[in-house]
Amino acid sequence: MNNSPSPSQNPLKEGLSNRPLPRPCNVVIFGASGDLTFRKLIPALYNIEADGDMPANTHITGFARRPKTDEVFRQELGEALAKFSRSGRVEDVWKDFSGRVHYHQSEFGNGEGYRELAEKLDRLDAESGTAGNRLFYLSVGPNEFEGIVTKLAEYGLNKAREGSWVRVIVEKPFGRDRQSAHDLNEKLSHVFEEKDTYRIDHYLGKETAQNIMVLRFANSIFEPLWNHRYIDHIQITAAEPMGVEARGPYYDSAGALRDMVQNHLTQLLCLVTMEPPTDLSADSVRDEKLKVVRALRKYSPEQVAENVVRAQYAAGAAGGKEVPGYRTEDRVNPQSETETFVAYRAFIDNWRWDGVPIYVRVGKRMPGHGTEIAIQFKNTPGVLFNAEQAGMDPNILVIRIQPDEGISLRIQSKRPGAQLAIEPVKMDFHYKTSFGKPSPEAYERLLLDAMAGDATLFARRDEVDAAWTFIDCIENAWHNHATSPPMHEYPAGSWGPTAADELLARDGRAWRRL
Amino acid sequence: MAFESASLGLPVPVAQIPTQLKALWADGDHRTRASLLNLAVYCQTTASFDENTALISRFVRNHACRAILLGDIPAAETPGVSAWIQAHCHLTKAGAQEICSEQITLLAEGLSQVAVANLLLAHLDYDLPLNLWWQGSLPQNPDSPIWHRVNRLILDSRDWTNPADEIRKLNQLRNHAGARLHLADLNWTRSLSLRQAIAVSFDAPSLLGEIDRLNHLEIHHGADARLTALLLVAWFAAQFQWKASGSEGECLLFQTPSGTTLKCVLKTSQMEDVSSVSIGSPEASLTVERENGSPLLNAVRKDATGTTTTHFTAGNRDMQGLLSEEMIPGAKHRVYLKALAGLQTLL
Repeated sequence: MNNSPSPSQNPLKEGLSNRPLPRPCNVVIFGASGDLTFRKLIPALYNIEADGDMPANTHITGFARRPKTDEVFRQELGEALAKFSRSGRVEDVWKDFSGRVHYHQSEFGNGEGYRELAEKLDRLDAESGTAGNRLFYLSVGPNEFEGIVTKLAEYGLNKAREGSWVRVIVEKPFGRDRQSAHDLNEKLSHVFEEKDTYRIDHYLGKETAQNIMVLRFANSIFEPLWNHRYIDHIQITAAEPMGVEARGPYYDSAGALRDMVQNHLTQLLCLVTMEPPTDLSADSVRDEKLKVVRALRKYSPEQVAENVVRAQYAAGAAGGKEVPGYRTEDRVNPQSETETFVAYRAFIDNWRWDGVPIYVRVGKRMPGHGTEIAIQFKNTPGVLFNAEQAGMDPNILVIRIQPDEGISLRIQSKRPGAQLAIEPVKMDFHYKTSFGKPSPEAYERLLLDAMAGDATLFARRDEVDAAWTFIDCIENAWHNHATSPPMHEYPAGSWGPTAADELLARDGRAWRRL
Repeated sequence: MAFESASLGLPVPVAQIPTQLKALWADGDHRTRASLLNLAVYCQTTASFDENTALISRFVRNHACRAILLGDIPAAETPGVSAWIQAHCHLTKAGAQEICSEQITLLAEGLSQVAVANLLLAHLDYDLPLNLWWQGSLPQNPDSPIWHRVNRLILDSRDWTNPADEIRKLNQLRNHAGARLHLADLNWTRSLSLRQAIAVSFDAPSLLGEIDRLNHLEIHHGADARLTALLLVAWFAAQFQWKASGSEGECLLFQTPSGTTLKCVLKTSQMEDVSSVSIGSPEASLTVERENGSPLLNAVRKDATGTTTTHFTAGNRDMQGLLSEEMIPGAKHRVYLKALAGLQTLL
């Protein structure tokens, strides 16, 4: 039996933040020439630096195929930063930061490139005191994961020295179904332990997503109402006016269900419906989310037809101009059966949410841009004011994930004047103006967490697995069943097909208009 | 009043402060006023007005607030109050609305303690917590209406010339104000990165298992950081439940709960702040040190398995960084109070 004292018995920890400390490290980005690096990762790392949160002496190395010098790489990043950084580019900060950015040219399958990378990282460790701490970011397609991690293992880059750590961040898509996700996890697990594997879902890094737990569990007024006795239903919407743009080939092989629902929207659904965790540790939070995914009602093919609507956008108008239909988009199969819109009615079969429908919709080429969670409360009894003024609006608590992150609560109020007229009014909280500073980008928080070893906002293997189980039921009904439900159409620039409206109308409800 | 007041903004009659503040926002199309707290900075000299205003201007970029800079010159011959208002605005990103915080500067000359307190209370932002940064020696008499309204009292024990007397006054204030008065000592926060590095290093079983056998503690500190070092000693003593048992030459002596005698040495060095902390038993030891100007803290653990070095970020400990850290709520206040109680016995 091991009688070693555990860190929880460490009296010096009292009063100090439970959050692990981000430690100086070397960050290596595979796929450093890609869009994500320029638009998100480097701006996020730069803003961490500008905010003074970057662990000292942390170096960033971009690993990619194209030949390039450090200077050219830095110049390209600098130009992109001016466009994509939330705080612009401050020359003094950029000078310090870019001096610690390097480029490493190699094919992903070239062993020599990894040997040289290992030497470079050892040298940086010695010069900068990063002590062998390494964070590998796989900003590449899933087909590259296995090759890269195998090479990392071959050259010992996955092995942490005594007192240091080596972690890997994996970008979505994490598989295309349960089996492929399982295979991918297996391959990764041969090289990195689960505790060192960080599956990123940038929605979880958004300030409002993190605030869901605070809203629910740090305020005494909401949680007593947060159940089937007071909540009529929940709507989760992710709408975007853009089409598939340059992502045609990827999107056509994935679709809205895999691209958005399996990860982002399921994570939001979990945060808003899970039980309070026993503590704020990564595993306690993820345990509770996992219970929700496991309790999501799995539909038979017939039930899928009844509860899930899929659709593709047809030609229409968006942003004041004519836009093509999905099947005529660049590099999209003209006979494509891939959905660009999904709406479904989910149920969580547990005590708290018994009978409460959760309506989720996601779509491209919608009239508005936004992601929100709307909690609609049950109506007041039909006496007094509710009897006087039939059809009084319900209370709705809206958590805006993006843009204009914030929370609003719709309540009833008496219109000024002698007459008793009741109208809904909104109490609004905007992050930006309340706190007087912009929220950090999701990637900033997530990269810092990975440097600190805090996996709370990253998906665990069993979560991914359970989410795919739910998604596979729908995908199977759509693609592997004799009487698969129809693929609807909606004009670009509309809120989706009428079938989606009917899904709620059958329950006497309607979608919110964003 | 004879000082340069250009940095303080628009001079206004005290009675017109509310209306003049509203006028600041009359053209609200491009500017949004934000406020989550009151930050009152109390000082007894106008000489620090410029420096405090510059600090407030930087602070509000991350902590939207109403800032009230209050200069109190009780010995002035002619009683009177002067006031200035200004807005500190910043863009969150190019093309966005400007986010602004208000600063009111009040110069109270020849007023009683109660009158000064009422002046401050009258200009607080409604229903928001009051953080009072008291610069200089604490008041002898805690009988002022302000202490019941203060949520967080910010002070800097490094400036104390007579620590024993300041602790006595602080205890008086706490007794008067009640339990809700939260203490935020910037000098305590100065050692936060160091304490975090030490605490994390003690997670190692080889150190954690030696807590009862610790027998030496050595701290190196700059000439002006003795009180920071003593607070660290008091922190160890409180958390490990050591009892002070006198001194032996330059050594402070403690008894650990298991009866071991622990010798503590404080050494003055040429370095800034606390530059090195070494603690250990015959079986294991830890040294956390920072070279002058280095952004890293090096934690060197020695035990039966060998030597392990871990690096931590030393953190940015300028005044703005310290103040920002204090705005983060947590249980640190309770631990500080324990250390402060221990500090009394070490002075």
